[in-house]
Parts: sequence; C-alpha cells; structure tokens
Amino acid sequence: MAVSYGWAGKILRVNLSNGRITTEDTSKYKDYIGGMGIGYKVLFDEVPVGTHPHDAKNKIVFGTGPLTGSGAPCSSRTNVTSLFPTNPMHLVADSHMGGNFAASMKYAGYDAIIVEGKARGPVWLRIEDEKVSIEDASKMWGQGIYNTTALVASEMGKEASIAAIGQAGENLVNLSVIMNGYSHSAGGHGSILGAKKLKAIGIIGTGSLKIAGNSKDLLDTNSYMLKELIGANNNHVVPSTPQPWAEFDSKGSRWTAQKGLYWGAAEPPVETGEIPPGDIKTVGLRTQKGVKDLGPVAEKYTKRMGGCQSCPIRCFSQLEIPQLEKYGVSRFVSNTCMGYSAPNGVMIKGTVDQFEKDDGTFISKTLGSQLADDYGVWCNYGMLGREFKYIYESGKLKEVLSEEEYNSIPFDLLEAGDPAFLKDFYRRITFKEGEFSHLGDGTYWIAERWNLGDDFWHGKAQKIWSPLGYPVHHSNESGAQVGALISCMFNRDSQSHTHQNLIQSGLPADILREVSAELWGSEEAFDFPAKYTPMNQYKAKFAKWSIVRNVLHDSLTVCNWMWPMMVSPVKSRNYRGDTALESKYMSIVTGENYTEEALDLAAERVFTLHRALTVKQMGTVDMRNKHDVMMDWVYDMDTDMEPFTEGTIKMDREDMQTALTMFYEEMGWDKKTGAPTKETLNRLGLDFAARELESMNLLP
Amino acid sequence: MDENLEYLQEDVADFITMNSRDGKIVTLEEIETFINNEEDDLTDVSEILESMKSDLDLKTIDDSEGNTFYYAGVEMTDKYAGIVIRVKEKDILKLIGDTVREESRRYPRPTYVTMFNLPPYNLTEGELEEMLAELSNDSEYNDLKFTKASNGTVFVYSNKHMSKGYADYLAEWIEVGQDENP
Repeated sequence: MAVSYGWAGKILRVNLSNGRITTEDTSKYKDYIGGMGIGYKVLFDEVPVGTHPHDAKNKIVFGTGPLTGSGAPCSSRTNVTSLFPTNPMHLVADSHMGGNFAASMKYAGYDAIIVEGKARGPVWLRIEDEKVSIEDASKMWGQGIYNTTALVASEMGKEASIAAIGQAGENLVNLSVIMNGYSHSAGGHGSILGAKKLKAIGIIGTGSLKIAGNSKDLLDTNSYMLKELIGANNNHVVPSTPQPWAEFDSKGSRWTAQKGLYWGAAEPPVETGEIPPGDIKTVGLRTQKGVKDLGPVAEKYTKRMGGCQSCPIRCFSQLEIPQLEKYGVSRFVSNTCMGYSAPNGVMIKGTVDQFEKDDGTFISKTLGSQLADDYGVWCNYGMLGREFKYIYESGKLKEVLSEEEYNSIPFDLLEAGDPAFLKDFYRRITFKEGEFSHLGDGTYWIAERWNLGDDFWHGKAQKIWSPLGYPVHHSNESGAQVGALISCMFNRDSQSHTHQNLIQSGLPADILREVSAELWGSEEAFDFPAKYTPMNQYKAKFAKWSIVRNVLHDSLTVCNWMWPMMVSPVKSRNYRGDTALESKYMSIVTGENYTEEALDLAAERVFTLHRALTVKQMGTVDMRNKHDVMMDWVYDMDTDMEPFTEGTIKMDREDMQTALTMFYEEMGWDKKTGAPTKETLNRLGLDFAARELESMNLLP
Repeated sequence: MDENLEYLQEDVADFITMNSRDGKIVTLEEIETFINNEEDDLTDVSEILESMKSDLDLKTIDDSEGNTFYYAGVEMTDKYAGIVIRVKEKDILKLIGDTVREESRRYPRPTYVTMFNLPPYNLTEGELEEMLAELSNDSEYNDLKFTKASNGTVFVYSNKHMSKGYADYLAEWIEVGQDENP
C-alpha cells in the first residue's frame, strides 16, 4: 500500500491446510474502508456458493479499519465475517468483539487476518508483529476459553491479546463464540474456528499506527468529542435520576452515575458521584453497569468498570463474588448486557435468593455468564432461553428426548429456582450430550429437527423475527418500520444500534423529532415508542441512514453502541450531536479529505455488496418474499388493537410492504424484488458483482 | 482590585457553586452569613454577586413570598431550581401533578412514583404514600391515573396526554422491555 496512514497496510492470510502464511496489500480493499467491508469482499470473491460453514473452503476474516488503534474513542472493534452456521442457508454474516484484539492487530501491522483451509490437528496462531507461526494446540484442545487464554499467555506473555474458542466451538456447536480478553465475544462464529482446528490467536503488536494529520488535531477532536458529544453507554445523554445539572433524566438511561453510588468492592470504594458533561477525566464513571445489569445487590461486589482499548465508556462491569466459588467457578466475573441477561433467561422459573436478599438473578446472571463464556456458548441474542422455555413448557422436550435422558436432566433445580441448573444446561450443549444438546444448533435447525410448528415460529413469546432463525434486536419495538426494516436486512439478528441509541437517548420527543427533521428531512421520520404512524419516505431515509452508519462503524472500525454522535448531553448545544465526526477523524488519521457524504457512500457500497452476496448465495432475486420476511406475531399481536394505535407495536402487513418498497427505492434496489439493480451496483463501483450476478441470471 | 476582595469573591463563588452542585439554592442572608464568617469588615454583597454573574451564570429565583434565592446556572438548571423552591414551599401535591403532566405530555412517559423519593423531591415513603392517596381523591387531579409494570413498579400518568393502553405499554417497556432488549 503506497499510503498507509490509518491503515496498517497489510493483510495477513493464513492457510491452515498447507501452512502457508502470506501478506498482501490492503489497498485493493480501500474502497470498502476496512473491517466488515474487507470481510464481504473476501467472502464474495473467494468462498464458493453452497460452501458449508465448517468446510475447509469457508474462510473467516478478522477485520479492523483505519480508525482502529488510532486513538479515536471507542475504536477497538474486531469485525468477524464468515458463513453463519445458524442461518438455514449458511448466508454470510458478521459477529463483533471489542476488547484489545483489534488494536493489537493494527499495532502488529495487520488490517485484517484471513484464515482459510483446515488444520490436520489442533493449532493456534502466534503473531508477534511480522513473525507469524502456526503452533501446536494439543494441550489447549478440550480446554475452556479461560484456560486457553491463560495457556497462550503463558507462551507469549501477559501483553498478548488473545482470542480463543471454548469446547463449544471445538465441538462445532452452531451457537458458539470467539472471545478475547476473557469476556469480549463475537457470537455465532466459534464453530468456524473449531472446524478449522484453530483454537486461538495470540497477538503482540509492538508497532504503531501512522497518523497523517497533526497529533494536536487528533487530541483536540478527542477532547471535543469527550467534552461535548459523548454520553454514557449506548450514548444515553441524560442521567438516570434527577440531578441539578441535568434538564432531563430517564430511568432507563445507562448514565447511572449519581451521588451515593459506588464501585463498592474497589479498594477504597469509588463513588461515581454525579458526572456532568465537560470533564474528560470522569467520563468513565458515568456508567455503573454492574448495578444497571445486575441490580442494586451488585454495587458492593463491583471492583470497577472495564471495557475496550481506547474507549472512555467502561461498559463491562468487573465484579468479585466469592459465593460463585461454591458453584466451582471463579469469583471474578466480567460482562455486560446480554452476556448477563441471556443465562438468566434460561432460568425460566426464576431464581430464588441464594446467599442474601434479592441476589437470585444476580447469581444466575453472573454464574451463567461465566459458564457460557468459558465453554464459549452463544445465546443467539437471548433466543436460547426462549427456545428452552418453549420446548419445556409445551411438552415438546419430553416428546423428543428419551425418558432416560429427560429424567437425567435436573429439572428439580430449575423448578426450585436454583442457578446450579445452569451448570448442567451449558455442559450438555457444549459437549453435545444427547438430544437436548441440539438446542445449540440454533432456531431454524431445532425447528426442523423437532418439527416445531407455527406456534413456535409465530408466537410472540419466542420473539423470532425471521424465518432465517434469528430474533428481534431493536426491531419493531424500536422506531416502528425503521427498526423493522433494519431487522430484515441482514442474515442474522440486526446489530444496528444507530436508531435505538437515538430513540433511547433519554431526551424528550420534541427534541428527538427536531433532530430527526434535521437528519432525515422531517419530524415524521421519528415515532416515539408504541405511538406509531404509517410508513413515510422519511422513515425509509432514517432506516437507510441507520444501517449505513452501522456498516460504516463496523468498517472503520468504531463501536456502533456509541457512534454516531446524533445527540449530545450539552444544553448549550441544544442537545445536538455531530454526525460529521467520523469524517473528521478519518481526515485527520488518513490525511485525505473525507466528507460525511463520501464515507456514507462507501458504507452504502459495503452494505449493497452484502445484499449482492446474499442474492448470490440464495440464488434468487426475490429478496422481498424470500428474505425480508417477518413472522406473523409482528402483525397479529395485541388482537384487540389495530396497528398505529397508542400502546401497541403491532405492524400492518400492507404498510410493511410499502415500507420495503420505499426502502428499496432509497437504496436504489429493484422496487419489486429488493435486489440491487445493475445501475446501482455500477454506481457504487460494484461492477464485478453486477457482472457475476448477471452471469448467474440474478439481476432484477 | 483589592486582593482580599478578590479572594472573597472566589470564596463566595465556591460557596454558591458547591451548594448548587449539591442541589441547594441559597438566600442572600446565607451568603451574607458566609461572608461575615470569612471577613470582619463590612463588604458590599451586591458588588460581589455582580462580579460573578457571568462566570457562574448566577441566577435568582423567588418563592411565592418574594424571598430571593441564588444558584449557579453552570451547576443547576432552572428546572431543578424551580423544583427545589416548590419543595421548600411544601407545594408537593401540585408539584407532583405538574411533573407528571409535563412528563406525560413532553416525553411522553408515565412517571415512576418512587422518583419522588429521590432528590430534589426527597419524600419519605410515608409522605409519598400520603401524597398519592391525596392525589387520587382530589378532583383537581382526576386526570392522573396509576399503572403498574409486571415487576411491581408503580407509575402515574395524566390521561389528558396519554391513554391507559399507552401508559401500560410504556411502564412495562421502561421496567422490563428495555432490559430484555439491551
């Protein structure tokens, strides 16, 4: 690569079948920015249609972008791209992890790592700057992620950044993760490494990233972002309680800092206090995520907040809970959000107090997160617990399991609300013990295997979004058609938080409507929760913008849980954010003049390439009817209420077809089918995709 | 400027700032008492306050009896100062009513009742219970209705600004739905 400011300049390619380790220039991927963009391009170009995710022909791409490791806030995200095992057609999808891994990749000199082929026996990949080797992993195979990480660290040193799979990945459990830093996991791709016999990747990067611009500009921009724009986790910009400095507050805000709230197990305990905007040194105290995720009982066990490299928002609570040792796991636990709530979702009968008042869910969440993380089991964004609930309560489990197997499962613990049940639950899934373990196959596959019918697929309680077997993830409950459209466009649960972060920012509706008008042309783009209006073009623009920014962030790579900066906590800014901030960073870091529009266009290219790849893999242009489909509960819920009535998130079938049409138009896709047109592919510089789709008769 | 006066101005600015940061508004008498504790000589308070007007965004708010209170606008919003005054005046019932109506209208959202246990409201559990009972029986507030999320959290809303169904949904979303959709 001639110019390598921002980008490291090289991509590492490791073929595990023949042991070849090569590097190539990143420049050919520059139009796709990095991260997700590199991943889709590699998969489009190099993985044949019809490949099974666990086949040697499948590839997995660990991608970073030009802002990763640059010092831009919230920028150590690794985008992982490969075929997706839980998807019924094994369509391409991404998983993501924070931590330090992405920054370490850049400092070692790599924008991406492409892993291909399949090793004959267990191996791990050792990367120390330009020195790369494939090492024997026999001693690690069979170990959990925690021990594996420790074993790699014992070889490389504690400064190594290590991503690993657990026994679930080894055993080709579809619902498995790749995890770095003991708790930052990329869900759904663990078994790809398992199939390749790649147990772990350890990286030490001693280099640095070249920044084209003046370092003072970078620091000034950081200061501007931290003083004036950034909020708390998910960029919630108001505190959770009334506070003197704040005009607004919202109980659901992750800006939980307040007087009298502590990291109670720190030595000495640290009071978060009230943290008004303006002081960059205290941003990390804003989010007391332990209490937010685990309840008030977590306060006294909280050692501190953790998080990713270069991120001032510490969204991972780190706790010391001695009681956990009674279950045979470590007393130390670190996680966030769904990492805690998903195991609790398995405790479908609730959890009773274990050691003190109100600690039931606290113990099930922290114990469960340790078990799932060490085994490397993924939850499919909470589906695992809901599926278990369905098959248990419907009697289906009794039907599909032998009597002997059914009776061997300690349902007495489950019924008694004892979280020790989780040990048995996760072990069976991880080691593929019996029929029960097929819960780890994922939604579509268990429905096929156990002949689960319409009441499973279309029941509201299961929250299944798509026949592709993934659940809601900021879908119709988040911005009506906006969230619904976004949730239809990927091949797994949508991981876009752009729209959700605006809607849940904590600001009142009048301000959010004004911001929406400024960004998408009309206040009509914004619907407040459960107060929905029929589809309009502005919502289509909102949906497109949300996806484009999500894709941009996963390509740069920065955290879409925080970015973009649509709103601000600062009253003197009238709570307005700065959506050009990504381009400001890109211009400083790369030395090239990036505009907001240019970056959005590049991200639109990446997203359209994803669509083209989906068309290619599915072998049909009929995305409207074969891909962008929602389950019936979305339309049939709340039987006593009509769509667009206050208090329901029920959608209207005809209106959603209109929404798809408007969205396709915004994207320049064929209005009838939702497939990218030749003109659009060419306009975005995806001529190669247009030619290939044309040759396959897959252009609309 | 006299060096002592400069120090005094800084001290008074700190006094008002720290009180505001603490959620407190202060009277002129309290400021004078503070100054008298610092200085033996008679000092012109109005001159001192004038000097910090722009730096602190010094603001005043009057209660219904015409008493003036000071606060630093850089530390405390007008809205918060307004609530503090009404709590001082023990105008609690109307304060709850107005707050709930405003939240139902503007956000829109139902208000969780335990918010009134928090600063700056600071009602005890008994006081809150009493207020809510009074609210239910007062015809002036017959637009205020209650709803409960499935986790037991009680909310109050104004049916002038939202329907029961909507309040039910939002209460459940705030308490349960958001946590299930992180």
